[in-house]
Amino acid sequence: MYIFSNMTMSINRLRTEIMGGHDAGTHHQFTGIAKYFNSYTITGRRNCVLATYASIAALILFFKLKPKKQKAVKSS
Amino acid sequence: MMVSFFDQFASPSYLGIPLIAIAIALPWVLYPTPSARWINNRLITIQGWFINRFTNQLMLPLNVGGHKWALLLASLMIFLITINMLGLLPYTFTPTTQLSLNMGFAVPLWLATVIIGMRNQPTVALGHLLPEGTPIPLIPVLIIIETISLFIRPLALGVRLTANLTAGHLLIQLIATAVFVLLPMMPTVAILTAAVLFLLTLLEVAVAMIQAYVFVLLLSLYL
Repeated sequence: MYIFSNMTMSINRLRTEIMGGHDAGTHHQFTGIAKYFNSYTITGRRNCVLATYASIAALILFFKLKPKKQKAVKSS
Repeated sequence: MMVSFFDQFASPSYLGIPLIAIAIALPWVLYPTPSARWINNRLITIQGWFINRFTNQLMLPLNVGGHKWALLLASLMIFLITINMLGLLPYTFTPTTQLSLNMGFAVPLWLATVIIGMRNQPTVALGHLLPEGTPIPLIPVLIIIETISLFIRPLALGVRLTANLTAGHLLIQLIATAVFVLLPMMPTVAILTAAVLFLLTLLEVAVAMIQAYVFVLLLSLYL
C-alpha cells in the first residue's frame, strides 16, 4: 500500500476530465504503474483486487512454510 | 411434558412421514394452471396480471441477459409469498421458519449469480469488489471488506427471512396466550390486547409479503 502511494506520487501523473461532476472512468489517462493499478478503470480495479488476493495468499503461504524454531532442551 | 413457545417451529411428521413436504407442495396445488383458451376465467386473468406486473417490475434494473432469470424469480416469489401467507392461518406450519429451507434457497441462487458473473464477465465481476474512486491507502481494506460482504450475502438472505417469520409467529402466539390468560381476570385489558393482536396480525400479513419480495429483489440485484 505504501509502495503504491509513493510510486504514484513521485513517478506518475494523473490527468482526469470530469464531466458534470460524475467520473465515467473512460477519460482517464494513466501512466506508469497507475495504468494497471488504479481505482477508476475496470481493469485497474480488477488488477488491484487480484494483487490484494495474491498478497494475502503469499502472506498465508509464507507463515505456513516458515520453519519453526525448535527450543533447545536444557539439561537439569 | 414442558410445552414451549418454540414447539410451533418443530418440523411436523406423522407416522414417520415428514409433513413439510406437503406444506411445500401446497402452493403448487392452490394456483390454477392457465388453459389454452384465448380468454381465461377471472381468477386466472388476475393471477396472470399480478405475475406479469411483478415480473416487469423486477426486470426493470436488469439488462436483457438478466431476463433469463424472470421465470425462476417469479416462481420463487409466488412460492414464498404463498407459503408465508398460509403460515398465518391457525394450526398451520410455516416452512420458511426453518433456516435450513431458507439457506437452501439463498446459497445455491447466490452462488449461481457469482459463478455466472465470473464466467461471463470475470473482469467486471472482480472489478466490482473495489468501489470506483477509492483513495489508494484504502484499496486493500475496501477489497477485504467487499469480499466479506459478498460472502455474507447468502447468510443475510436466509437469516433475514427466517428471523422475520419466526419473530412474527412467536409474537402472535405470545400475545394470543396473553389474551386467553387475561380474559377471565381482566377482561378490559384482554380486549385491548386482542386489539393489539389484530393489528399485529395485519402487520404479519404485510411482513409475509414484503419479506418474500425483499428476498427475490435482493437476489435479482445481485445479478
